[in-house]
Order: sequence, then structure tokens, then C-alpha cells
Amino acid sequence: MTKLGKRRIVWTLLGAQAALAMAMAPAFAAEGSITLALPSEPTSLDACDDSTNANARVLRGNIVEGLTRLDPQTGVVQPLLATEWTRADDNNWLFTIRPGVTFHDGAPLDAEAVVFGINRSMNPDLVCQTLSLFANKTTASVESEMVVRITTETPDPILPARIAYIDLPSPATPANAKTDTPIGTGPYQLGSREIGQSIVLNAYAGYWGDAPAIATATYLWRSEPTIRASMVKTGEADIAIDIPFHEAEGAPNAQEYSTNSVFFLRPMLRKPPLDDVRVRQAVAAAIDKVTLTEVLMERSGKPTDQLVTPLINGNVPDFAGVPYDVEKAKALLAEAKADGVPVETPIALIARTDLFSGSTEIAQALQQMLQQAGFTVTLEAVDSVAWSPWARKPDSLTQPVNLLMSAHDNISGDASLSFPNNFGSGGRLSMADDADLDARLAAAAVLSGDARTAAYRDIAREAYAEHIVIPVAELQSRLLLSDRVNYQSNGFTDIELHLSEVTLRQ
Amino acid sequence: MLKFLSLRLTTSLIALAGVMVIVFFLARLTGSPATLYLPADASVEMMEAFNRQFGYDQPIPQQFAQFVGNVFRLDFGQSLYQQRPAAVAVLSAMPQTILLAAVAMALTLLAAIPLGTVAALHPHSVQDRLITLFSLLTASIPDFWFALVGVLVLSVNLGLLPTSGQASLLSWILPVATLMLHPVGVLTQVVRGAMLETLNAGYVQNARARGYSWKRLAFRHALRNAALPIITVAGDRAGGMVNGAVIVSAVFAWPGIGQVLVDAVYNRDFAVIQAGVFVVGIAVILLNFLVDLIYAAADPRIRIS
Repeated sequence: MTKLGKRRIVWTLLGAQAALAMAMAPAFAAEGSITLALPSEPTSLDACDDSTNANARVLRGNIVEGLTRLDPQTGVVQPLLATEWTRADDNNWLFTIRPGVTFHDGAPLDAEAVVFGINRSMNPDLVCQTLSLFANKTTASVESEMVVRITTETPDPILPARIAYIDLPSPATPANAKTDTPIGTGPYQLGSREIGQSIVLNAYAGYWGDAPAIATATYLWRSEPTIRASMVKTGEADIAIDIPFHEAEGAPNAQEYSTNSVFFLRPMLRKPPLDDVRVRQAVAAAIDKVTLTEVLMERSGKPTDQLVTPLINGNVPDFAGVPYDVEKAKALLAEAKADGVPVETPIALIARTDLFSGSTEIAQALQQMLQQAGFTVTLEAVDSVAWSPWARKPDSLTQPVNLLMSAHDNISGDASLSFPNNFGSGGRLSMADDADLDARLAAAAVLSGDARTAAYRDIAREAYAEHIVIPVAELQSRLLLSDRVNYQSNGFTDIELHLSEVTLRQ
Repeated sequence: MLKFLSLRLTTSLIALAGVMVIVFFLARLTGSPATLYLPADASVEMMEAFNRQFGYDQPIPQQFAQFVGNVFRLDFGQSLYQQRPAAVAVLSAMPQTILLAAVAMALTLLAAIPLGTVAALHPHSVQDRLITLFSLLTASIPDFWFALVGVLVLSVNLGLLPTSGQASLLSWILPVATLMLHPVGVLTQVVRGAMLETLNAGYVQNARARGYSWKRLAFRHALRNAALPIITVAGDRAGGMVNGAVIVSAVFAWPGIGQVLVDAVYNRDFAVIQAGVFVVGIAVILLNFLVDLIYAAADPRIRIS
């Protein structure tokens, strides 16, 4: 063999080795770092507590993932850690687990790991926040190495959507205690945490999906919205959410997004005068939603007549509620009074001060509007804990007649997480007591597809006609981006801010 | 003096114990934290499980007996909100709070004493009027407004300082300035008033007639005699800086004990409320001790009595 031949062989071998190394290397190109300024830090880092915004923004889709996920635009269920699923019978579903997925600690994702994660969340003694989404008792069992059987006590046609809320922790997670070091399968893993100050996430090199673009993300907690906005303007942060209108106005990198949360009034309709539908209709007619949202709420809300947003199948397209008309409100009250309804009875307006920014001022405006129409309204401003006995059964049943300020959000795509609790006799937050409506809710719960949608829309029309709730505004929010990053907000931004959707500008 | 201090310690500890008992029962009167920590539609069973897990299902006297037993071991329980021992949650906020308060109070005294003295030395002059205007302005500007305007002007518009956090020494400037704002105004007026009174005393007039320089008159003779009201107000303001710097915590994300306590109240984090009251109480007792010692150093009559 000639010298030249040897050299050629060496170069060929080196080239082949380099090509092999490149082929075998993980698709991991994360680089750079970003900083996010958020209003509040998580109250828990356990995957089974990530149903609240503060927890989910950091955990869901970043550190931990579920079997399925919902499309932020349409609410349609999509595969995530499960590749497919079938309904074995009314009460049983089989989910096929995605192969080749590992947790951040190296543990493989298989049926046993999935069963551990689901059953851990369902453990009543662990008091997981996601448990409240599963009123229908749900258990998981191993069907085969990569297939999981999920069984519900009663039929649940939307289980694939509901199971999207159960994020799966590593099997090494304590079964009977919460953890503050979450280990999941997501594109990011927990780097460090300084309580009250920051959380740092690092890209996970072994992620099963597309490699995230950003190597490190630092979350900083800033309760003051002006400071969050200022941090982006000075380059101290790249993303700031929940920004006031005046801070976002005119900013080229500001985006508006729906929080999928609806602010509404819940009349105490078991006591006079709110037990009379005309009086409730008068309440609805007395509220000038346009002025409330455009002036007092600084456009952080838009008028709505429905409890759920268009993301949910129970939203009725083109539905129009009672328009603002003070004269009509007065006429309705006069009519009710003529029939002996004690319309002068003082009604307590229960204002939860932390419901949203400026909710106390909104309550004062509502009080004025209702008094203009002829109601006698007293204002009671309360915090979340003091609000609870007014809102939740059984305490709420014994309260004086009141209008409760409340908010409801649902991103599941399905009205079963909204209507039974707010319209049904058994709902903890509901004041309704209508056997016919209960029967229709029960019937709708086992339907699927178009029939389910139609049933929930009919229920919604009935509930709005009876003014079981009086929707006021769909709450909007805004975020601000620095010049360094690209991100497009969507319907889930308020609760799930996926770092994998953020890229650095070239 | 020792007898006085031991009596002071005993009464302070009794007061602290009383406050802690009242706080324990008042906190529990506000309701179970379960309503706050669980979703609005949480079932009754979930509520019960939560209360069982954290001992809120026990009768209040039983909870109190357990609390008292634990306090003697300095165990205040687990923070619901921060998910770590309550004592750690509170104590971790103390060093930064005390450091910030110490820096702010030192700078406050460095500014207020010369300003108040100059104003008192030249009553009704242009200097006096300007200093009085300055002190009234600083004492009346809302600190929340000052903090936000400071961020907008110095951070956003001029880019001189960071908006918040503790990344560098520069990030101390706005929090310290905000914390100093009211005390500087108030103390300047206190120094001016106390110095005016002292400068009009017979012995000062006598010294002036003997040709003493104004510097010697003011800082060697008059200031020492005017010190008691200044020490009293400064001690009170220092206590406020230690436990009440909530604005600084909220706007600049400074980890202060004031914010920890306010958060604990909002979040019904009983363990942190109790640990916070205890730690702040001890800090205030120590501060009062310090004030008493400074009194004694400044005025021999107190030392002797």
C-alpha cells in the first residue's frame, strides 16, 4: 500500500467516524438563555398540582408532560406521551405509550411508569389539585408493557381530553408525598430554585421530541406589572406576561391573548328577590358591559354573554344575551314588584378583591349600575378565603341573598368541566336546583361528538335564559417580548407557556 | 441599669407571648387555608383530606397546645405556601432585610442630622426654607409612586439602574432611596426642632457669647443634648424598616420580612405568620434594647437612674 493510499484510508476513516458521530449525536442544538418575568411563583412544583396557572406555567409542557395534549386553537385532543388510544368499552380506555421516551433521571417511560403517575394523582390522601377534575373515579392499570388501561367508574367519553391534565412524574417520585424536585419527560429539566426569587430550567438533552431552541430559561417573580413590563423594556427580561394595557399600548412586541377566563355574577337564586327570573333579567339588563370592559378594565376584558369561550363545545355561536337597557331593567323590577316580589330587599354584592386586577373598582361600578336600575345593593369586599363560604356549598346555601362575583376558566374544550359545577343542583358552586337541567346534564355527559356539543349548547341556552349565571366579560391579557425572542401567544398562554415554542431571533 | 434592662426584657417577652397567642387565634378565625389552596370546585372529601393532612381538623385548643409545645423547640411547622420549614422561610428573609434597613438608616442619619442642624442654625433663612420644603416633600411623597417613577426614569428612560432584583450593587440604590424617603423627611424636621430648642438654651447662648465656633456649638454641645428625641424617632423608623418594607419587597422583588408576612397573611400560611411574628418581635425587642443603651450613652442621667 502506498503512502498516499494510507493517508487516504486514514482520512476516509476519520470522515466516516465524524459522519457516524454526527448521525449518532442527539438532535440537540439548544443555545442561549432567556429570562421570563412572571407575576407569581409556583405554590407547588409537584406534577399533580399543576392545574393552577402559577404552577402550570413553569411545569406543564416544560418539565412534565401528559399522555395527551389539547390544541390551543381548537381544543382538539392530540397525542403526546401516548401515540394512540381506543375506547375498549364504556368505562375502559387503552392508551399506547410512545416508545423511546425517558424521564430526566433516565427511567424509561413504560406502562408501569404511566400507571404510577396516574394513580398517584388520584390518591385522595395526597390532595392533588388535579384531582378535582376527576369527580368520576379513575384508575389506571398495566395492560401490557407499553399499553395502559384507564378505567372510570361511570362512562367518560372525554377521558382522552381530561387525561391531558395528568402530567406524569418519574417513578422515582415519592408515591405518598409531594415533591419539590419534579422529574418529568419534558424538554426542560429543573436546574435550580431560589424560593421567592427564581427558578432555572435547562434544556434536556435526551428529549424525545424536537430539541428546544433555548438552552436555559430563568423565571423571575415580579408581582408589580409595571416592573415586569419595565424589565422587558430595559432588556432584563425577554418575556413578561400579564401586562397592563397602558404598558403594552403601542409596543411593537406586545401581544394580546385570551385567558379563557370569564368574569360573571352568580345570583343567589334560592332567595327573594333573586328567585324571580324577571329580577335576574333586570340585573343583566342593568349592567353596561361595554363601559365596564373598555373604560374600567382598560380593555383587559371583552363583553360576553356566555360562561365559556369559543374554545369550549358548550359555547353557542352568535348567542346574544340581554342587552344593556336601564329602562327595561326598571320595568322588569316594577313588574316583579307588582306581583309581590320584595325587590327592595338589600342584595349583597360579594366582591372578591383578588379576582382580577381592579375587581374592587368594577364591583363599585356594578353597585352603581344596579342602584341606578332600582336595586338596593350593599358591597362586601372579601378575599379568597372569606369568599369561599359565599361561593361553595353547603355554606353558600345559608347566606343572605347576594350576587357573587366569580370567574371561571376552562381550556379542556369540553363543557363538562364547566356546566355541571355551575348549573347543576349538585355543583359546589351552583345555586340552581332544577331536576330537568340535572337530567340533561347527566345525559350530555355520556354523549360524544356532535350530539354532545348540541346537548351542551341547549343546556347553555336554558341556563342563560334562566340567568343562573350572568356573564360579564371574557378576560384578556397581554404579554411583552424583547427584541431577542420570537413567541406567538395562543389560547393556552395564560396557563401553559411552553419554552419549546420560544426561539431566539437571528 | 442592669435591673432596668432585665425588667424591660421580662415585660417585652410577656408582651411577645401575648401577641403570639392573639395572632394564633386571630389567624385561625379567618378560616381554613383549604379554600385557598384547593380549586374552587374541590370536593368536600378533598377539603377534609387537606385539613386532615395539615392538622386543621383538630379542635383549636388541641392545635394551640401542639403549637405551644413546638414553639419551645423553635419549631413553627411547615410553610404551606413555601413548602419548607416556616422558621427557615422567615429567617432566610431576615439578613437582607436587616442589611437593607441598616444601610438605609445609616444614610438617613447621615443626611438628616446635617440638614436639620443647618436649618436650625439659620432659622427662617433661605437654607432653612429649602431644607424644610425638601423634608416635607420627602415625608409626603407616596413611596409606592416614588419607587415606580424611579424605575421609569432611572431604569427605563435613562438606563442607569436595574429595575429590580439584586444582581449588582446598583440594584441597591432605588430600594435604599425608597426606604429612606419618609424617614429622611421626618428626621430632618425632628433634628431641626430639637436643635432649635437646644440652641436657644442658656448654656448654648453662654457658649456663643464666649466665642465658640458654630461647628463646635452645634455638633459638640447642642447635638448631644438634642439627641434623645432624634434617637426615639430613629429607633421607631428603624423598627418600621425592619418589619414594614413591603413596598420595597413588592416593587423591587427584595426578599424582605415584611413581604413574607403580608404574603403569609394573604395565603393563610399560619406557620409563617407565627414564625414571622416571633422573629420580628425578637428583632423589635433587641432594637429597643439598643435604643435604651444609646439613650444611656447619650444622657448620663438615664445611666444613673
